[in-house]
This record gives sequence, structure tokens and C-alpha cells, in this order.
Amino acid sequence: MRTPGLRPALRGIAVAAGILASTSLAARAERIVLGAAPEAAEVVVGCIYPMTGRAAIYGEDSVEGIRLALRDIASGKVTGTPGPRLRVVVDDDLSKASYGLRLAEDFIDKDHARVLCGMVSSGVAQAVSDLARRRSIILIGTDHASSRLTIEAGHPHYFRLSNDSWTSNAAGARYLRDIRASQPWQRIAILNPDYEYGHVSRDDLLTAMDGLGMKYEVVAELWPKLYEPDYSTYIQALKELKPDIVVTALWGGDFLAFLKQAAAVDLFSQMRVANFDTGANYDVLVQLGASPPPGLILSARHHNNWPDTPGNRRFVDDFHAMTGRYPTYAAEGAYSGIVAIAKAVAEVGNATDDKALIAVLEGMRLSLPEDPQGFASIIDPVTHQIMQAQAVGTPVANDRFPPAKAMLGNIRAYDAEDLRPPPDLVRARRAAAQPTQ
Amino acid sequence: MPADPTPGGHRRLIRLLRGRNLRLSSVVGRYVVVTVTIFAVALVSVGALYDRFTKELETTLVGERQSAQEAATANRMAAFLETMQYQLAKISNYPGLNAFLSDPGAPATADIGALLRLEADVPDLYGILFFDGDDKLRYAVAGQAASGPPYWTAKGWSIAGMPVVVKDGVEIIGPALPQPGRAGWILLRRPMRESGSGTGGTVALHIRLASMTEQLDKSNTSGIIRMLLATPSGAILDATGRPIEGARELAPGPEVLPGWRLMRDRRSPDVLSSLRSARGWLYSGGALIMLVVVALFVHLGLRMRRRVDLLVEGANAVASGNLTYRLPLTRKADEINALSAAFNTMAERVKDMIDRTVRTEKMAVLGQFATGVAHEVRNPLATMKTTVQSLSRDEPDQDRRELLIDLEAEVDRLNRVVNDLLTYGRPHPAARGPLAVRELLRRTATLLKPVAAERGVHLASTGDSSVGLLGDADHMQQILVNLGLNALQACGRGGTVTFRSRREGERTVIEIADDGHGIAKEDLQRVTDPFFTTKPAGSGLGLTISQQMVEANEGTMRIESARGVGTLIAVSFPASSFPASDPTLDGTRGGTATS
Ligand SMILES: Nc1ncnc2c1ncn2[C@@H]1O[C@H](COP(=O)(O)OP(=O)(O)OP(=O)(O)O)[C@@H](O)[C@H]1O
Ligand SMILES: [Mg+2]
Repeated sequence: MRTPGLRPALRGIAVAAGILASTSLAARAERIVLGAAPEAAEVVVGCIYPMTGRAAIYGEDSVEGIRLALRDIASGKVTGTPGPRLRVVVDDDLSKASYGLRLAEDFIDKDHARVLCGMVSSGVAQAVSDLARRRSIILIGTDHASSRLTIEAGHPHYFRLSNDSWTSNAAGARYLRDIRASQPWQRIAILNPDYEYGHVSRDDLLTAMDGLGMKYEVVAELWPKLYEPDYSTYIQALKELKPDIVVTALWGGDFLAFLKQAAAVDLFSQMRVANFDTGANYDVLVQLGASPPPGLILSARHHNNWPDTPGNRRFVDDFHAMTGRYPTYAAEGAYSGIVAIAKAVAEVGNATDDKALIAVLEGMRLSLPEDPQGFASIIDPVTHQIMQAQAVGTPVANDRFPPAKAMLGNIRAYDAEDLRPPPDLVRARRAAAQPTQ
Repeated sequence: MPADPTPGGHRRLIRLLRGRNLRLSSVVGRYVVVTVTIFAVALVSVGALYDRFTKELETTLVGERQSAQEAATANRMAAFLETMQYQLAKISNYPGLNAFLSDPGAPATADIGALLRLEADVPDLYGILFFDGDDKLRYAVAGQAASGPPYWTAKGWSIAGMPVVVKDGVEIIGPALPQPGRAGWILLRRPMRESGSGTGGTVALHIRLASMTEQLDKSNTSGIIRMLLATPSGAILDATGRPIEGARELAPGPEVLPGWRLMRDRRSPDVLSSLRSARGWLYSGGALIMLVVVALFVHLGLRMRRRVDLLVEGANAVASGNLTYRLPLTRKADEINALSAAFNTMAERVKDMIDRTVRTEKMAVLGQFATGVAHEVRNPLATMKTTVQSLSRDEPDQDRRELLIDLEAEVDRLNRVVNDLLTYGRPHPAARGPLAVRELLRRTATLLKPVAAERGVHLASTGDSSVGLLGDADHMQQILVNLGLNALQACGRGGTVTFRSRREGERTVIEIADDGHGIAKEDLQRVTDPFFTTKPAGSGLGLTISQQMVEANEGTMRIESARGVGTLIAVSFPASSFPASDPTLDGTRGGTATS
């Protein structure tokens, strides 16, 4: 029903929609097209990554990882023969679900993408995964980690080719259990970003510790917002709470900002800080410099110096030769995603039969750079989550990957099989999930 | 071993202060009292100033900033809420919301859906929630911070029973306090503007509670005042959005919303507590310094007392007649040492003066006596001599005549002693004039030559012969002859006697040196005493008379001698630059040269 009084409001909404469409183009980074030309492409993959803001490095390294994957596919390193011709379109979501969703729709409708990939933020991934479910488009997640996406929100078209928050925290829980003998601890504090990923990470850690029968006390759960510019309030609270260990899922620029501020007020002399999912990312190690704060416990989804296998060395060196820098873990995640797509398409023979592609992806074994000797990553047919080993350690002086002066050392590695979520847990979590509407 | 050394130490200190060693009435004691008093007064006044300063600082830091900070915090919070309210108003005014809600997936309302997602896509928002007229959740748009219920599942999620306050037509619902795994939140809710729907539907922003409480901490970097937020549910939240635990002394601040009030933590700020502990340090440090000062004064006082006691002892010794008492001198050039040195000099002078007075008096008595005797003896001696002369002249017997001649020689000798005594007792006053030393030495040599030749002693004369001196010619001659004779008599055969003359500033010095037997150490003090002699035929008056004459001519005499090595006697007189030539020599004692 239209009345004259509503007209300004209507105009407002039109303007707002225009802004959504146009500012997205103005403020965002240029869209990047890799691989085959539209006519020659056997399959178009639409990838969504942040290319601006605090998380931009993840997007940039993902693009290079994709470039490397396309090279390896074309040279036959992946499938034995020069693999399927992929066309990969990458665009910037500004870490926002609203943009990510719009990009995904455009990829499907305008670029005729058969497969979607990417997403660093679990919030964006949540929205895009929902779209993939609705539009029946295969989505290969590469860099977001909330285990909710594969467990509660899992659906046939969603796969994830990088370690999730469960894998990381299952490894972290085991690490905490293992160091107890030499360094007793009891009180932990949680410092996670206040959004999907932070909350799920906390749940994963505590569930994993409970599953191991560990005794602990959570003295506080602190939830700074995503992209918080100033952590002093939370650091002050930590100093007053005096936990033995702070477990944090802050990532990217947030974690770097926290480290800087915490070091400035000498937090590290009072408690250990652990980050099991993203802490050992290469950009973090670079910032730590020659003398990392004491007591840090770190891990990440891929390490440039672990495992010391020909496959990993080749990946890291190729990346370095191509870009002049060493990769963050995002590169290997994106690389794995594209390799999986290529392998699936090559095995099915075309990219139009989604069912066949999904069937091939379920249980697919891939040899990836982060696989230790004698092990190949496997995509869990139940959760569609890739199962991989994970290494946890502390930063030690190491200048093999400049400009980093420290790399992960004192490593305890945990097997993929140990880090798989127990089937009972998956069933229980899925049963508890109910759609709102 | 005493169990506790401290009380013992105190007792000793008190004993020292009260005892005979150091009284409070002593100079040092008074110094101690004055110093300690000044110090205590200074300390107390500095402490008082410090107290005032900290009080002022506290009011400046806390008092002024307190209200400023409260106002700023309240403003920030109001601004945050205003932004949210504005966003909420904007959303509630969207047309077509009802159509969207009735079929969120419909392509026709896709634009509304995209706009809502865009509005929700900020870190402060969990999402945008739509309620029907019965507060039942109709639809949830996940925001950037979305997590858990009511987004992926609404199970167990409800706003029933939560505190609600209303401001400017907006309901503020909550707070929902943090639960394990879930952060706290509030809702800002208002009716949807859409007309004609008649559903009574509302739209709410689902806001992080911490986004609101973080405003408490934004200007509080100095940590002086801690602000908290009291909520309608009774919970008092800190800046991280968590309810505080345990009782705290809180002062109410301004209200930011109905039922939402800023609170001030009354806990003594860290900065000021360190100021207060600094005052404690000031006082204890001052007390310690005072103790050290007292101990130092007691120590110094005791040492000074010991040294003053020595002075007193010395004065007493001198007073009781011990003129040779000398105070020990330390190497330190302090006042006490200077006093001791002055004391010693004084004692020396007193002894000298007394010695000289005694000698002068002795000589005066002796002189009178000697003159009397000489007078009585001289005339009979003259008679005796003429008698003996005539007797010997007439004596035919050779043996007897020799006896008479001996007798005559003895009379001569007696006569000479009498003359000496007269010279000594009635010295004729010095008639001083400029004299050429060369001339004096030449005549002396002439007079001494026969004796030297007889004793086989070599006589020499060196030095600056052009010098002159101011003196009585007779006295000078007699001094030099007496000293020369002594030197010759001290030498054995082959010895040497040397006269040396030189100018020393305003003085002319003549030295008579010999390499004879020297003077025994114990005799050195006595050689100038009248009648002191070591010679069988000596009268012991030579040096006495010489000394007397030297003094009469404003001269000094110094004797150095070593047994077996030789003797050096130096006489010094005022110098004269134009010596008169050829002064006549009075032969009063000239006869001595022949003895
Ligand atoms: N040059 C000297 N060498 C060694 N002893 C000396 C010398 N001059 C003086 N004496 C000592 O000093 C004493 C006193 O001397 P002084 O001239 O007063 O008397 P005297 O020579 O003994 O007698 P007088 O001079 O009256 O004939 C001497 O007896 C001698 O012992
Ligand atoms: Mg003599």
C-alpha cells in the first residue's frame, strides 16, 4: 500500500540498494581471473576472499595458492596428466557476509560458476554455505574454520579442505594435556573473537578437553569483538584474573594487535598464551621478530617448516619463487581446495554431474604439502571435513624463512585420526541443531 | 652472647650519652640535640607538605577527572546508543518489511533481505531480530557477530522475564548476562513503522553487551578511576561486559538510561596508594638518617672528647711544672692538631723564657760575685807579681829562680782568670759598626797561628771574604779567637780548623769547623754554661763569654758536633754592605792567644 508519506522511505531504500551495488565495486579490490578463458574452461570456480582490511593477506596468499595449484594441475602434477582446465574468478568480500552473498550469487548467475570456494570469515562462510545449499552449488571452503559448518550446518554440497576449529582445538587440548606433567596448569581463560568462529572454537576446545577427561577451571571467557582495535580492556582483565594459560582464537590482524599490546604491558611474563588454530601463521611469526614473548604456544593449519617433506619444501619454495615471499597458511588452504576440485573433475570426467562430483569428493585422498611422510589427507565422507595431522609448538629462532626470525619449534604432532571428531559427537551436535524458521 | 644485640646497643648508647664520656651539656652533645631537632622539624614539615601535595594531587587527579570522566563516559555511552537507535529507526522505517517477513526467500523481497544483512554486518551486532505482537521471534537476520541462538537455532531462546526500560519510544531489553560459551547482549527494540499490517510487530537490534560496556574503559588508560555500569537486572558490569564478583565500595554516577547507571569504583587508585607508601618511606628514611646522624655525632663526640682530654692533660702537666711535656701530633691537619701544635710551641717558648731568665739571673749573681772577688784579688795579685819578679831577679840560685819564674806564670794565669771574670761580670756594651769579615779573619789567623803551629794543626780560611757585618770590633775578635782556640785545642796533630764566611740574606754567617774529638751528646747543652770545661787547665768561660757577646751583637750561635768527627760552630750577625777598613782591636782578651 503506497501513501505519499512512504515515498521518501522508498527512495531511501533504493538509494541504499544502489550503494550496496556501487560502493562494493568502488571500495573493493579488483576482481582477479585465473586459468582458462570462459570458452575453454571445463569448469568455472568462483572464489570469495577478503582482499582489503586486516584479513587482506589471507586473500592475497589464497590467490597465489590458487595460481600455484593451476600451474601444478596444468603440468600434470595433480592428476598425472595435464588436468582439467579450470577458470577461477576471485573477488573481495570485505569480510562481510552481505557482500559475500552478493558475490556468490553473481558468480552463479553471471559467471556460471559450478563450484564456489574460499571465505576466510566463518560468518561469511555461514551465509554463502546456506546459499550453496539452497542453490545446490558445490562449495569448497578453504580458510574459515568454524566446525559448525561441517557438523550442524553441514550439507551435501559443502566441503572444507583446510583444518577446522575442531581439528586445531583437538590438537590443542592434547598439547595442553601433554605439557601438564612438565608445566602444571589449572586455570585457563578464553579470549576469543565475539562471532561464530570464536564461540565454536571455545566449545571445541572445552569439548575436546572434556573428551580427554582433563580437569581444568575456566576463570573467564572474554569476547572482544571482531576487528577490535584496542585490547587493553581485555588485557587488563586477564592481568587481574591471572589464569595459567590464555587460550585465544584471535586471528590475523586481531592476533597481531593483541600480541603487540600484550607485550607492551608484559602480559607474557604472567601467563602463557596459546593459539592453536592460527597462532603459528607465517605473518605472526614474522611479527614476533628475533625474540618472541616467552610462553607462547602456537599452531596453524600449515607450516612452512613442518613437515620437512619434499612435498612441503617444493610447495613453499615454488610459492617463494613465484611471489618473492613465503606463504601464510591461507595459500596452502586455497591450493588444496583447487587441487581437490581438479581431481574430482578429472575423475568424474565432467563438471556438470554434481552428484558424481560429491561422491568422488567424499572419502577422497589427496597428497597435500602439509601431509607428514607416509600420510595423505582424506575428506571425511560424513562431515565433508578434510582430516589432517596438526603440529603444535613454540616459536624458536630460525631464519630459514626470512623475514621471519622465528619459526615453530619444539613440535608435538598429532595424527589426523586422533583429531577426527567422535561420531557420537557429530551425531549429537547435528541432532541439537534446529533451523529457526 | 647476648640474645638480642639491639637493646644492649641502646643501653650502651644511653650510657655513653649520660655517662662521664659525653654529656648533653657538652659542645658535641648540644650539637647533637640541635641537629636532631632541626632535622626532625624539617622532616615533619616536609611530611606535612607531602601530605598536602598528595591530597591536592588526589583532588586534581580524581576529583576533577572523576566528574569529567563520568560525563565523558556517559556521553560516549549515550552516543553509542544514539547511533544504534538511529540505525534501528532507519530499519523500522523500511517499507516492505512485512512482505519480506512473510516470505523471506521470495525474489521480490531479495533487496530488503540484502539491505538487512548489510545493516547487520557490523562487529557490534549479533543480528537484527523481528518479533510479533506477543514477543515471539519471527525472524533473525544474522549479523557479523552472529553465533548460536537465535540464529542457527532458536531453541530455548526467549526474552521473557528480561528487564525492559523505555526511552524515547525505544525499549531497552536486557541485559542478558554472559553464559558459558555465550557473551552478554541487549536488545534495542521499536515497533515497525509499516502501516496497515496491524500485527504489532517489532524490530530489534541484537547488540553485544560488551560493545556498550567497552565505552566505560575508553578514556581510562591511566587506571586512576574505574567505571562500572549498573543495570536494571541488578548486575554491575565491568568494561568487558561481565558482572563483577564480590562486594565493592561503589559510588553512583550519572544515569545513562532509565535504570542504567554509571558507578565509580571507590577502590583507592593504584597511583595514589604508591604515593602514600612513598610517605611511609620518607618517614622511615628520615628516622634512619636521624639515627645515623646521632650515632655519628656520638662517635665524633667521643673521639673529640678523647683528644680534648689529651689537651687538658698537657695543660695540667705544664701547669704543674713539667715544661718538657709535648702533645702528640696526628697527621691530620685539623683544628685540634693545630691547637696541639700551638700548645707545643707555647710550651717550648715558656721553657726557653724560663731557661733564659734563670741563666740571666744566675749570671747576674755570678757576675756580681765575680767582680767583687776580682777586685779583691787583682791588687794583691799585682803586688804578688812585682814581688815575685824582684825576688826572681835577685835570686842567685838557679833552681829557686826557676821556681819563682813558675810562680810568676801562675800569677799571670790567675790574673787572666780574674780579667775574664771581670769581662764576664761587667761586659762593656757593644759599640757596633760595619766590619770587614776578611779583616777580622786575617787578624784572628795572625793571633792563632803560633798556637796552631805549636799543636801541628792546619789553619784554613775560605768563603766569600768580601762580606761585612754589623758588630763591635773587639767583641767580634774575641768571639772568633775563643772559638778558634777551642777548635785548635780539640784537634790532634795533623788536624784542620777552617773558618768559613758567607752571606745569608740579611745575615752574615761565620763558621768555625774542626775535625777534632767533638762534644759528647750529653755535654752539648752545657758547654755554654759558665765554668763548664773538660780541659785540665780550662776555665770554662770561653764559650760563655762568646755567647754573651754574640747575643750583645744581635747574633745567634749554633753548635753542631759529633763525637770523633768534629765540631761546627756557626755565628751569624746582621750583614753590612760597606765594611769600614782597619778597625782597631781591643786586646782585652788578647793574652788568651798565648795560652
Ligand atoms: N771546638 C771544640 N771541640 C771540642 N770541644 C769543644 C770545642 N769548643 C768547646 N769545647 C768544649 O767546651 C768546653 C768549654 O769551652 P770553653 O771555651 O767555655 O772553656 P775551655 O776552653 O774549657 O776553657 P777556656 O776557654 O776558658 O780556656 C771545653 O772544655 C770543651 O770541652
Ligand atoms: Mg775555651
